[in-house]
Amino acid sequence: MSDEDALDDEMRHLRPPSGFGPDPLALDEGTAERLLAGQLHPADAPPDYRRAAMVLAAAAAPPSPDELAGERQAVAAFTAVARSIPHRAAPRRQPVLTRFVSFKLAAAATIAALSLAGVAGAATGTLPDPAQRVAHQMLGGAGVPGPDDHAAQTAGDKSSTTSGHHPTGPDATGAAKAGLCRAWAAGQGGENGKKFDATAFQALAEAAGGAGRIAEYCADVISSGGHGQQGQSSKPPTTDAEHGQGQGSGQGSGQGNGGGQGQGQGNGGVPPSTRPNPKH
Amino acid sequence: MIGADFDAILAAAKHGDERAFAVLYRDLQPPLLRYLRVIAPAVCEDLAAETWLEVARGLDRFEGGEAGFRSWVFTVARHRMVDLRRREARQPVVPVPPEAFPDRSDAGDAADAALTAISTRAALALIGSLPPDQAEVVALRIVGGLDVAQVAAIVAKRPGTVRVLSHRGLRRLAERLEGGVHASGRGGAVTQ
Repeated sequence: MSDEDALDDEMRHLRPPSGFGPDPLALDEGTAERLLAGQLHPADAPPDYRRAAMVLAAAAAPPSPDELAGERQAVAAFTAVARSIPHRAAPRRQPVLTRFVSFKLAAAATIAALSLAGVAGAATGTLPDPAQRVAHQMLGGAGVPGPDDHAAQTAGDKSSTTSGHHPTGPDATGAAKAGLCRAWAAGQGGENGKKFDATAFQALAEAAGGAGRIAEYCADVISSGGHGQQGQSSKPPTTDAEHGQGQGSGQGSGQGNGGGQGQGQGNGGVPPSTRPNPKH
Repeated sequence: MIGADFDAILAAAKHGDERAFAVLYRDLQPPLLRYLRVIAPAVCEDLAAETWLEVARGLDRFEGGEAGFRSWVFTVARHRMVDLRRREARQPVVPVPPEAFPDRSDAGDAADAALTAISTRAALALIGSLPPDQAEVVALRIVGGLDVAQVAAIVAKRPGTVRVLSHRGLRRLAERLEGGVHASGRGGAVTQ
């Protein structure tokens, strides 16, 4: 409201409309509230508010089909989000997993890469600190800001152009699962495995339905010979914005740390232990 | 409003059920889009899409009933708009074309018939031409179906402030629609 408007309003309240009879636009509180609540039919509104009431009614008219034109895209985006969260319905989700949710597929790819780093680290005893640094570099290098606001903003921008065709949600989930399971298996019984990025293992435990059920949950992955998700590397990144971001973050980190892990992300089937460890 | 089934639908959507999410969308997208059309007409559809994405992502963290859900969705939308405004210059106000409203000289049933036919778009544009703070609270109350307390929480103002703003908006709306007699006559007297 401009100053002039404010002044106008104020003076109107201060000065009774003496020369013009009673203020025809005076409105008692109850009537105003009923108008604003859409509870007053225009025909029942005070005469000087009938047109306003009609405008309000028109603003609140039943939906038209064009207002729902974005439904397919919105549902597709919802589906992509839901599939990016392993076992979305798991009860009593912990905050750590919720945090991963906000990073969506990028985070899933990051977890997979971290898991590969975890396997390499477990073999040489250099974790967890490097892994932790990798995580920070990955998240920072991918341009994924922490606060939900910005993450949602960037994801929203992408979604508005790409959400219509994303069939790839399960791949990322699978990739994260495979990576985590291999890291878990490699570290099982050893100190490194336990220390390695506890948050990632908490996510795995959540997905498995409890820490005691990880072995069962991971059985198919571990018994399959450690091969990752073939789908991830075979799909063009451009088919899915989040997917592209996830791969980008993996490779960026790989360069920052010597290149081995970035490749590992792209080819889930290559045993990470055959890769040169960048630190040793 | 969805009503008695809301809790079950929300629970299903939290479990990833697409159809349940679609029910929520169909119920809330029209009012959401209309609210955004009032406060940010040029980008309302993009903001609505961003809002739904954020809702999808935050759904499993939401706890509450239908009224709370509506408030949350509108709050998310408003945050998206505020973020946008921080980055961009404010959208210029698009004046409502005079032909959107019947001539003041029309009287009685003829005027009512013309007004009955006023489109939702034109109505939203008229509300959107109010001072922004008035336009927003009027829109939230009218198209959002929200009460004073909910609106106050969404716009981060006190309920009394929301009440005053919405009443002023209502009055200004009436002044414009009822034409020059009341408003300009009074305005002339005030500004002498």
